[in-house]
This record gives sequence, C-alpha cells and structure tokens, in this order.
Amino acid sequence: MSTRLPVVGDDPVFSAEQPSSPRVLERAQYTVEVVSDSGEGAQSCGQILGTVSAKMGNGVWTVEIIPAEVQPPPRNPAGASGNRVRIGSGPVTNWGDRTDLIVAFNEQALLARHRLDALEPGAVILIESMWQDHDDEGIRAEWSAAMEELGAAGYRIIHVPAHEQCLALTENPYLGKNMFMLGILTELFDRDTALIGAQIRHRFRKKDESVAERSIDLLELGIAWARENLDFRVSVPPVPGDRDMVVMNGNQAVALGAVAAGMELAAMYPITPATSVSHQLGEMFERFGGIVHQAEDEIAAAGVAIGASYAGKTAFTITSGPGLALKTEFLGLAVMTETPLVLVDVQRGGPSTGLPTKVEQSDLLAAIFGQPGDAPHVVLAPATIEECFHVMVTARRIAETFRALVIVLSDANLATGVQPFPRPELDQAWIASAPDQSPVPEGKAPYAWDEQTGLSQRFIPGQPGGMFTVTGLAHDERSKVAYTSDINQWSSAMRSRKIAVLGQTLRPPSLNGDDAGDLLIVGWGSTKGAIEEAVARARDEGLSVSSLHLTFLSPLEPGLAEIFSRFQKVMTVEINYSDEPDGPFVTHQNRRRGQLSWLLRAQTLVDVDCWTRVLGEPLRPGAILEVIRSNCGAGGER
Amino acid sequence: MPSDDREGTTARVLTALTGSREAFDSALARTAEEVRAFLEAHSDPGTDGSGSVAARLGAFAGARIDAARFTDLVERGEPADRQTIHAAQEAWTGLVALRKRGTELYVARVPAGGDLTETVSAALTESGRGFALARAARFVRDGKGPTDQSGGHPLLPREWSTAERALAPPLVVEVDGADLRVGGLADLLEGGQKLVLIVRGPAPPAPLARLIRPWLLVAQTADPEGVDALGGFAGPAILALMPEEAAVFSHDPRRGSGYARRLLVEHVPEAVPVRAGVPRPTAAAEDLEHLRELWRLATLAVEGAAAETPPTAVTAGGSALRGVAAPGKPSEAAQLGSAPPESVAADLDPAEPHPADRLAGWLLEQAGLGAGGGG
Repeated sequence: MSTRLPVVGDDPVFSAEQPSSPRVLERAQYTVEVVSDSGEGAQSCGQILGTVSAKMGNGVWTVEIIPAEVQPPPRNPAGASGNRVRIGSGPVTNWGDRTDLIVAFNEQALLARHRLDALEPGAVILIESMWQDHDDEGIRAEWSAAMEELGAAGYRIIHVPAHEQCLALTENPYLGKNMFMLGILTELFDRDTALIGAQIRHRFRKKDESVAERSIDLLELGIAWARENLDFRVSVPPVPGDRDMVVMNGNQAVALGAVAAGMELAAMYPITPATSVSHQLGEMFERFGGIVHQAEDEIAAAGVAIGASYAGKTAFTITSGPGLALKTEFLGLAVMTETPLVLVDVQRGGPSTGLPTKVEQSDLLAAIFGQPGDAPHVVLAPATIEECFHVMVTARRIAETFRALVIVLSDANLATGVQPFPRPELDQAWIASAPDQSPVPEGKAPYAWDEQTGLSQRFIPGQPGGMFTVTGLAHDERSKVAYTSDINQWSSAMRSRKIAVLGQTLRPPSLNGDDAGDLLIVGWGSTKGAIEEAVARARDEGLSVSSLHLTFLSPLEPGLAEIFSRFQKVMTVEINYSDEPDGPFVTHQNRRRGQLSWLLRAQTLVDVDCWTRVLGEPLRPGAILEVIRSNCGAGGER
Repeated sequence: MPSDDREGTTARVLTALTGSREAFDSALARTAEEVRAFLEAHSDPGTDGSGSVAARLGAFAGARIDAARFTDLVERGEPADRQTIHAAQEAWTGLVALRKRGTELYVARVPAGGDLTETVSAALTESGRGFALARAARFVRDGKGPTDQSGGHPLLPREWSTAERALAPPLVVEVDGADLRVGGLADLLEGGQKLVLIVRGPAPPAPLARLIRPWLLVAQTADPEGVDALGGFAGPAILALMPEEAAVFSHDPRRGSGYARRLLVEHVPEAVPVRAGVPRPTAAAEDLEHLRELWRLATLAVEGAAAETPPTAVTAGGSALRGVAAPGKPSEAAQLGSAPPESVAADLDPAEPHPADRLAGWLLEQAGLGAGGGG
C-alpha cells in the first residue's frame, strides 16, 4: 500500500506539495489533542508532549480525556481516550476553548471530539488511515460517513498510515502506534528529542528495557515520516524563565505537598480520580518514611486517619464525592473529639457514581454542611496545581492549630492536569514536628477551651498527666459525657468559635481587575485560569468586568459584601448544576443555583447570580466570555 | 592499604553498620523534633528559631492569612520562662548540629603511635554529646527547668545510662597494626556498642582473642564482607579487618550457649610472625595461644557431643563469620593441637543440658506441659 496524503480542504498553509520547505506557523499558544480507543496510549503520547514542552520552558496545561468506562468498546465515540495539551509561550492557566490540531487513532474517537465542539474551525486533523481499507465492510462504511461529516465541517484532514508504518518495527502496532504519533508531534513542534527519549524511558522504567528502546525506534520512525510528508511546522517558542520549574499534575502536587508538610500517614480507599495521590505517596513514603494505608472501605480509611491523628501522628485521608458521603459520620467524630484531620476531596461529577472521570465542583455544600449535627470545620480550595502542593502545608497547620477538620476541595481538572510551576523552596517550618509531649500541668482538662478562642491544648496518648476518655458523645471540658443541656450549648459554641477565630485572621480577597464596575465574576477552585482569561479578553473589549477567586470557603474570606456593593452585578461561575433562570417552573425564589452562589447569598445577603455548567469538562474561557458579554451592564439580580 | 582502598573499606563498613547508625541518628532526630514541638508550643511566636508563624502556615496562606493577627489570636500557648526556652533552643541547635556531622561521627583514626582506647573513648565521648543534649531536652520538656548543660557537652561512655548504651553509636576505627592494643576497649563494649577496627600494616595475629566473653560478638577477618556478620546483632560487638596472615575466627553469642557453640575458627597461624613492626610479640603469642586453647576446648566439646547427637552448628571448616559449617571439609583449625584433658572435656559436654534448659524443662513439667508429662 502506498503512502497517501490526501489533504481535504484547500488551505495554502497546509499544502502537502512541498515537504522539503515546510511552512512554519508562529503562534503564542496552540492546542493539540491526541485521541484513541482506551488502551492505545494516546494519553501517554499527550502527557509526554505536555511534560517535555513544559520542561523546554513552554507554558502548558493538559487535560485528560477519559471515557467513563475502564474498557469501553473499541471504535466508539463514547470511548474516546486521550489528552488535550495547550502549549503557550507564556504561562497557560487553563485548557482553552478548542483544539487547533488533533491526532486521532480512529475516526470514531475523532467524531466524538468534533461532536463535542472540541475542534477549532479549520483545525488540522492527523488521522490513522488504516480504517479506510479495512476488511470489514461496516468499518469502511463508518469511515466514509465520518470523513464526509468531518470534511463538511471544513477541517484539514491528513491521512497518516501509522499502522502500516509501524509494521516495519513491530508485529502489533496497537502497542506502539502512540510513539509513532508522538514522533510526528515531536517533529511538528520541534520538541527536544533527548528530553522526549528521557521521558519515554522514565515512563517505561518498570518494564523491560526493550520496551523503551522499541518505543524510541517508533518515535524516530514517526519523526522521519513527518519530515518526509508534512509541509508545515508549528512554532510556539518556549520562554524559559530564570527560576527552576517542576512539572506535575494536581494529584502529584497534593502528594508532594503532604510529604513537605511532614504528613506521616495517608489512609484511603481507591476511588477515581483521587487514587493516584496514594500511588505517588506510595513511592515517596518508601524513601521519606510514612504509610499509605489502603483500608477496606472509605469509612475505615477515615477511621484510620482519625485514630492515627489521635495518637499523635500527622494523618490525612483522600477521597472523591461518593467517599466523602461515606466518611460523613467519622468526620463528625473528628469534629466532636477535636482530632486534627485533613481530608482531600478530589471532586468528580455526581451524585452517586456520577461521572467518575469527569470534573465537577458539586461537593462544595456537602463539604461545608454535609455532617449531621453542627460540625463546624474548615474548607479550602486550591485553584492551581501549584496551590495543590502548598495547600497541604496550610491545611495541616490549621488542622493541628485549631484541632479541626480541614477539607481540601480539589477536582478532576486539577488532579489530572499537568502544569509547570516554580520549584517550591522547602522550608523546615512547614514540616510537622512531633507533638509536644511535655507533661500536662496538673488539673488541666483535655478540652480546656479558651473562652475567647475556643482553642484547647491537644493531649497525646502517653503524655504524662494527659490521660482522658475520648468520646463522640457531647462532653464537657474534662471529656465527661454531658448530662445537662447547657454543656452542649457551651461546647458547641467553643467548636464554632475556633472557626470564627480563623475567619478573623483572613484577609479580604484581592480583585482581578478594577475595584468597581459593571460585573464581578466570583469563582473557586480550578476555574480560576479560565475565568481570568475570559475577564482579560472581556476587558480588552472594553467591558467593565472584574473577578475574584475564593480559596477559603469555610470560614469565608471577609469583606465580600462590601466588595460586592461596588459592582452592578455579581455572579458566580462554577462547574456544578443550576437551573436556567428562564427554565420551566423556575422562579427567582425557587431557582436552584450554583453552590457558591447559594453560599454567598446566604452569607452576604447580596442577590448573587450564577452561570454554571456540568458538561463533564473544564469550563472554556470563550464560554465564560460570552456570559460576561451578555451580563455586563445588564444590572440583573443585585 | 592504599588510601582509596581504605576509604572504600570504611564506606563498606559504614554501610554494614547502617542499622546501628540509623538507630542513634533516629534517636537524635526524634529528640530534636520533640524539642521543636516544645518550642512551638511554649515560645513566643516568631522567636523560637523554628520558623515564623507565616513560614509555618506555608505559601498558600501567604496572601490570605494575616500572620500577625493569627499570632495574636491563635499562637498564644502557655509560654515557658525565657531561661527554659533558651535552654530548649540550645538543645535543639546542638542536636541539629550533631546530626549534620553525618558519617564523620562514626569514623575515627588512631594517629601513628597513638592510643587506640583513648581514640575510641574520645570519639564515643564526642558522640555522647547527643545523649547529654537529649537529657537536657528531657529536663526542659518535663518542666524541671534548664540545666547548665543544655548546649550539650561531651559525655564519657561510662556515664551513659543503660538505655543510652543500647543506642550506642557504632564506630569505625582505622588503626596501624603496631598500635593495636585492644585490652582497654573491653570496658567500652557494652549495650549495643559496635566497634570495627580497620587494621593497617603488620599486626599481631589474634589480638581480639583476649576480648572473648560470653555475650560479646568478637570477630577477626580479612574479608570486608565479613562485617555483615554484625548486622542484626543487638548486643555489643567488635570486629577487626586484619591483614591476610592473621587469625580468622568469630565468637557469636547468637549461636547458643557455651564456647563450643559460639566459637568458630577458620584459620590460626602457626606462630606469631617474626616481622618488623609487630608489637609486643609476647602478648601477641599469648593471645594466639589463648585462641588455640579456646578452640581446642570447643572442638573437644563438639566431638564429645557428636558421639550422642549428630553435629549441627559447630563443625570444622566453612565460614566462621556466617556461622555456616561446610560438612565434610575439615579445616586446618580442626587439626590444631592435641586432645584436651579429659576433665575439661567433661565440663564442656554439650550432651549435658544447659542449666537454663533444665530449669525450663522442670517448669514445663510442673505445668503439665513437659515432653512426657501432662497428658
């Protein structure tokens, strides 16, 4: 079979006629996707491209495209698996709007992305061409239909005979085609081949050396094919800074942050998309000391973490939405016994099993209010991958200082996205020291609450003079079961006061944009990059819009009502569900709103509007920009 | 031994002593952490030398938490008096500094013509500074107030407590054979103390023989891998890496009761070599004869036992340091000397149960759990 390079569309830039003098597209940022059936390695391909680009000094944000099932049927649009990699000359803070170039291993995965409006009009498609001549008539028909649909959309389609090419080096191109495709991208983006090779070796370090060697052979084959057959290149010049950078995803950052904070035990039960935190910790704890405890279920994991913390260790637990629901009773125990505990909730779509692999921000209210009884505690939300690292230090410190439960709300977007950030300069002060074991002064009670602050000294088992009976029952200062109602009133006030005291130490949030104006967008968590990009684009259009991003959600950062008063309209932008204001049966009063919107309305008495989506993907800055355009100057629900 | 070889050997020995080193270092680290916790709990915030409140809260809190307000409202604690805090800070600084010295703490060199025991004692005394610091820290932590030794002072091994001796830092000592006078080391070999001597140049053939006593692991070898024999042994031990011609033996209490079980000899020179540089030939000959005698008795005991029970742990040949005998391969040691006197053989008859075994048997019998009792 001869190599064919039909180019659908007539863009002069992408003419395949002059491979010897490729045209170079200079771009400040460019977005690439690699998609395949699950298990064909598109994710590895995209991850290596993203990691190497970051190491070369590009700004990068990657998003995993993950099917809901572990092994979906092949050649099915619902089973598309892969990566989006947004590469920039400067910092990249979100996944952008649409893809400029997509590498697809079959036309069905490609169709899925097209139908989800993931591709830029006129995007370049590099498609594995083996299916057009497939023995199965049905597959050939599917191919033809897909090409017709994609061709009609105006994309530039380049056929890549990846399977045929790879047969020269491997009997089973399904295991290795991704490296051939990576070779094409390496050539197209002029990536450092030494870094690519090193990354391949790192990825396959636990396999036989021959796997990495064959992968590199396939990579070189892809590079050679691209040199010979593609007449364009994309230049997104890296701008290396003067600071050392590290490249990782949010779950790796959480794990590294836990180690930097001196945490000694992570108790968990496997759950997507949180599990990889424990994988990372498992490797690191072997070197630095510490335990990853995989419990028999989510409830037990919470219990182990609480028990370890009670015994004086620095412990945390990791989960996602369904696990948070299961841990609820134990979280109440941590609050009642004032046992320091950090819980990381990597949010996914819900309720129930929901969208295990997709992002949502739907756990906010459950995280703050989800415990029966009154269970005041702290909720923090990192907004970037860098913050996923640093939040662990702060969470641990707050948990121990206030003898409190601290819930850290990450999400699937942060968990699997890869971004470079400045290498943290570790500080000895971050690390949890051993608990103070000096003898307890005679007569001191285990809950000797300071009336001003609600704080009390934490006793550790074995501490001289510190023996007491710990109980989840309402109790007095000496941990004796409360038989009179006034004790419960008093102890409840003390547990609540601690959170108020923490709130008193918080600074008002800073604004992105002007201090006053037509519209204020309020966000939290992983949407920060997309919101701020949208606000920047809107401001370039002359719109009067600012944004602020909350990281302390319980207690809330102070001064919000005063800030809100300076804007004509305030609205939250979130990845959770809200009714459309004009939906059937929806009134201003009964409308179900975005979760932060609900919280802000309750706390500030400001009629905060919202715009939310639960599409199973991160928000696109372009979509937020449309919302800004339609709300700026509109007044609205203030 | 060329210096590169020497350094390589020292590094090899230090690796073999990792367990003991880590135990000592871990004790220092744990104490330092306890002192830091005390300082965090009882200092005025920001003045305890362990990091300001802002640093402790981390970068995530940087722009969001007002550290001064946080300090005012939260980090009040119950401050200890200034003297106590100062003492705790001194202890913490001393412990951190001691840990920073790394492997240097565990290596000593006897200068040519120097005194081995003095060198070892001085090195251990210096490491003992860690125990002094830990004591000072404990005093402060327990509210007994600062001592005048909070900064730590060198602490002589004889002043170490039983618990401290169990954590004794191991020591690798490089020494010329001419300076190999080991008698003074006997008093230092207690608790968990491990000493490894790397001997350079002409040396007496069996200098460590005189140190053999029931609960002390004593070994001579020319093979650097022989130091692995120290791994996992909780008690005191001394091992010398000797020149090739020296005696090779080991006395390992883990092998059982009685010298017959504990002592394995692989090689004993015929006589003290008459060479320039071998010190005190008379003492050297006495050490050699002492080893011969012990081995003769042990061999005899084994032969006696063999008449009634099949040989187990102790036969001739094999690797003495690994406690593995090579069946059917008689060593030259097995052919040493003549048969011992009958009376000595009777005293060491391994067929006779050890008194402790007899007591245990009696107790089991009383409890109805003996081999033939109970029913």
